[in-house]
Amino acid sequence: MSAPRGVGRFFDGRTAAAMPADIHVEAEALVIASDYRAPPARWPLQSLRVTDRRPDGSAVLAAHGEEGRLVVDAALLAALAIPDESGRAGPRLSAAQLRRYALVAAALAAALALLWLGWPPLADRLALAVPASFAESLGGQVTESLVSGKRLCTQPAGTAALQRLTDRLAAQLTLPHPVRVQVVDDPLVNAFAAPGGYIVLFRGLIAGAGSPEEVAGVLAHELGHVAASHPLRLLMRYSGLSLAAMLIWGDLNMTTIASLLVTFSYSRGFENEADARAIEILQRAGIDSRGLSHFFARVDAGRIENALRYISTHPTSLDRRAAIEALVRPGAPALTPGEWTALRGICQNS
Amino acid sequence: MQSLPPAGGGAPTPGPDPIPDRPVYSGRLGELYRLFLVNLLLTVVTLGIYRFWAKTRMRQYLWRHIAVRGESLEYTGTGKELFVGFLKAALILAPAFIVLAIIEVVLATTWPGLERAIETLRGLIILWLIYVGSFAAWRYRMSRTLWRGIRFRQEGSPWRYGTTGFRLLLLSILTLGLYSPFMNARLQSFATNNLSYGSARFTFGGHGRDLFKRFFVAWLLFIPTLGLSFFWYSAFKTTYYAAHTRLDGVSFAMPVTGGALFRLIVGNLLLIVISFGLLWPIALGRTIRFTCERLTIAGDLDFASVSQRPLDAKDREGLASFLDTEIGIG
Repeated sequence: MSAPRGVGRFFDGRTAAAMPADIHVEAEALVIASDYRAPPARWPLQSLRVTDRRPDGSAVLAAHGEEGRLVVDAALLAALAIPDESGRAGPRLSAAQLRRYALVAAALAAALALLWLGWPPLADRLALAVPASFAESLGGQVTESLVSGKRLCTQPAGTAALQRLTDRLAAQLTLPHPVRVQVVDDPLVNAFAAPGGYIVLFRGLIAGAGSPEEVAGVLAHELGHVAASHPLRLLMRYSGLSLAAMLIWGDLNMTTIASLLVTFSYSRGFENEADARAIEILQRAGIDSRGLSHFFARVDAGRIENALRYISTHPTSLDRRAAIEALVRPGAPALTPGEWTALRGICQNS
Repeated sequence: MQSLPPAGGGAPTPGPDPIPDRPVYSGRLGELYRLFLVNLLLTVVTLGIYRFWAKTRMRQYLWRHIAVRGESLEYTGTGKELFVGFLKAALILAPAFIVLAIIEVVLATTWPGLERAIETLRGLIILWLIYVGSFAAWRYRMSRTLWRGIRFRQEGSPWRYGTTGFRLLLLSILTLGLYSPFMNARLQSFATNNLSYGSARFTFGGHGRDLFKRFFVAWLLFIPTLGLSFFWYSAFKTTYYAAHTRLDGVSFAMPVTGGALFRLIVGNLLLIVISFGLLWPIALGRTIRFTCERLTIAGDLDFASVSQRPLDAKDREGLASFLDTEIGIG
């Protein structure tokens, strides 16, 4: 086969002029000669690539490191036999490059795995280092934003009954901050604990409870979360993961979803721990701890309305129920009948 | 200068192939879709890391299929550049936002009233960064656009563009929007007068006062027409911008009607919303075709006198990648 030779249109990368060019191959280089330009351009054959193939069969060629472009017809293109790189960002990957990319991918996977497994314990450590006063103010803010727009229930007799119950339970723990329980006027069955000893009960939970011991059980469960610093630890885990996700996606919406998913999958263990602590607190206070298992049994049996939210944040399982059943003991009532009536009317403030 | 067959510049040579005075888009929906789906798949599989390479491949495809005066454009950027730019921006911005979040919590505990103020401040900083980032991204894209072997180049500091844009936006808000035609014209002027193709400079001779009359009518009719009057204004603005832009001896025209713009924008919005984004390539194709079918380029550039200028190392796209503000082509 004779050496490839032909004509083309050359843009030399110095000016925008199109130059008719005579092209031939000499000493492993493409020599592009034009009347409008001296000396001829020399592009090493192995550095050539096709940047565009046009429907008429012609193509645009480039050489590595050159901004000039050469338009050649189908015949010359075929004679040059350049490997098809059209559409690629760079030249074909060498074995060394492939190894490097594999290494980067492996490092990335390892970093993600490390983050996934290593972050929760690290976040727990960090949570322990947070001063109590900071946790308190943080919890105050979190609670405020979560109950914003909802009416607070502050009927005096009900509030007093709830405070006595809370004090009895909290006295069993040594906490660096006071425990503040608020009731919001919301028909959902829900309860949550925020950092710094803030606990919020929803009206629906009190209305749906069959006895004061059930309310005491849920309250003790939330106190169990508080005693183990679960809210702060979750917040730490969540912040760290959302930061990591933000760095990966560079976008805030995806981040929230991803972090929430991860956070909820972590929180199962916390629920079991809070259950165990709740029963311990109830028994030390001498209160009948069967209320906790009664409450969960009624939620699971669908006998409490509007309980879906509670189930989604406090997933119950057969294992978890069995663990609770095995530990609960009879004991004294949580509230007097008078206090119980007052608590049920806590939202009747004007 | 010399006249060169078949697609040279200079004096128009009579021939079988008249050189079109409009950009020609030759992309195919099928190809665009395949690229889009492969990109989507790889982006999901790599937890989003692939998106920089995905953007690059999409741009390579689009640029290659847009021909101006018979020569196609070429996108010379790489995914690696975008990725490194993103990492750099993330390294600077992430700690800044963490510090701001900590200040927010600390201040909110000592002085609760300040919480709102800091939230507002953060919103304003993000808005400012969106202006800065979108101009930086545009600069990068221009520097990676090659036509006839010569690069485009957008000069002008993104920080200055962002600060001006942000300042004028506040002024527009304070004047209930009435300042916005002046803001638009000033930003357009800053961008276009700093844009060049090799050594040939673009110029923009428009002024906000020419836009104001139409804008004011549209502004008054905003409520009675349920906002439709702004499509009419927007079409006028597009036509005005094109008519007042020049590149040496080359002039531009882009006659756009409000109705056509409405069909394009609302149609695209519907396509994207009803499909949760899966019909995005159709919307993209519509936008490019809309522009190519209307933009005419008249007059000739003396190509032999247009020379290459050195690449500016400052051209990078990191900030925009981080804030994901990019909504333009690709």
